[in-house]
Amino acid sequence: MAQKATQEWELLNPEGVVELAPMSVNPHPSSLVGKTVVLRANGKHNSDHFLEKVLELLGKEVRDIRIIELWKVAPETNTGSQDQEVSKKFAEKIASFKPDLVISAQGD
Amino acid sequence: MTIGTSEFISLAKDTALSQGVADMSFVIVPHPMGMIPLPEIRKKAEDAFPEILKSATQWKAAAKLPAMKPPYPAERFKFKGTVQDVIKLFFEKGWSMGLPIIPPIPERTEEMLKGTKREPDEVIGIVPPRMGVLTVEMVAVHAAMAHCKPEYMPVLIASLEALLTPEANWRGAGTTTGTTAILCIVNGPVVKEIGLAYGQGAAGKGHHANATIGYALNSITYAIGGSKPPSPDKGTLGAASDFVGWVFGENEDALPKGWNSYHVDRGFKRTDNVVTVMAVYPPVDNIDHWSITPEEHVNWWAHLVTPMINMGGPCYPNVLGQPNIIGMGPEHAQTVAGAGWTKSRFAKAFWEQARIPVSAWPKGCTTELLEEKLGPVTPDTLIPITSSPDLFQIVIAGGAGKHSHYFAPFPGCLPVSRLVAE
Repeated sequence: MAQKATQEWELLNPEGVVELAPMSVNPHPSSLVGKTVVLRANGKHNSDHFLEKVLELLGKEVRDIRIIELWKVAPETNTGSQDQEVSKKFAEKIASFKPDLVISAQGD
Repeated sequence: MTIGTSEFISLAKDTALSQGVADMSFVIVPHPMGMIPLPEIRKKAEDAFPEILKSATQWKAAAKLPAMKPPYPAERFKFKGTVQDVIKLFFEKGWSMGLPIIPPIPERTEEMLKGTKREPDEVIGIVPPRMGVLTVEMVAVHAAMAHCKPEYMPVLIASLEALLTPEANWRGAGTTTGTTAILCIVNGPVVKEIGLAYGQGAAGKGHHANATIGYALNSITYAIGGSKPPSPDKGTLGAASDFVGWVFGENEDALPKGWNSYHVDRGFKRTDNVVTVMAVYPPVDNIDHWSITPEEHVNWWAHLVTPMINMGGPCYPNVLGQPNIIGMGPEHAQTVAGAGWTKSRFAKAFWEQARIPVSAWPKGCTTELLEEKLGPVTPDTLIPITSSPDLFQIVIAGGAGKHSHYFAPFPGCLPVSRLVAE
């Protein structure tokens, strides 16, 4: 005898909701002439070498630009940020150089 | 501006969104960046440069965040079908990982909530990387899906509270390319009270409490935390432990005389009920069947486990400061303790012996950060697994058999302990 397996269910959605605190991003400068750019590597293989080439090309392409290789002046930032607290410290370090733009390369 | 590879750009976007950044500037380069020679990486940078330059000065934010909803009560919906249809629906919607679940109907969730005194609308925390809001009700939903019993709820909630601390680095463990799993060790009278396995095969099959708690933890990580492959969970291969985490009680019955239990080592009373969680790599099985003395046994450990177990050395010196957990089988523990050795003595001997030279790591890893931690090094300097022997934490794990299990931590993850409260 066939059994009825179809039924009406009332179910709870297991995904729940998200909580996102809005964070705005600074606008990019309209030109890099005379600006400060921080290059940030994440400690993975080649992320610094990639940015070294970017530095070389920026220097040729843009006049009067100041470029900071963060992994050289703040080697403690040349790693994954791991948690919010460490991320905040890295951000504060970057901000201390008063950059107009930060270019981050995520090697992997 | 973030430059990411084609395989990781979705993770970058998910991460930005989880931090409240609806839109940011990304430049994509073909994967990979790592493990390719210098001329090749320079060519990739050259090819990407026009886009980098354009994005640097022309990018403008466009997207906005979605509207937020209240977390309690959980959304309810009607569905018509068989139980198999429900299981299929949940998988297709990304609410379950692919194994069967028990449909979370209101009655089952309410039954689960009887296992805790916490209010259902209490927010325990925000689960990364998706930033899902975890209420006690949501814990009950996933406990119901995993077929937990109500009496498991306090251990489950304590484990989640521990995972939600910054020290646990739940985000990192849930998004890495590495093969990570949640390790959950339980101590105290609650182990026997809820029938949690702590002896033979405790972390494996056939143990309802262990399996269902492990399943619920990962179910929450998946559906509420959003840790899903291929992104943001970038696990290169993944593992069965993605479905059911490592959950077991310490075998306190098999503690050698004079050895404290793990939770007492961590500062709790023997009568406290404690969970300790940590994100770990797959364990290394020490199959020493021959050593008679502690010295011989340490020698086995030192050849089996090297500082490269989670990068270490010049490649990732941050891991030097992280505890590693040794799930020592009772028979191995007896080999050590039977000769009068304490846990500390074993840890110190292992720490001194398990070292390899700097030169063993690839030349691409520089030594600046390593020297900040250890002082000047040369290619011949021997590097330990951890910066001090007390970072080896020993738990008596399992039953009869000459096996122990070494759990290396995922970088940035510390073991976090919580008292189990009703």
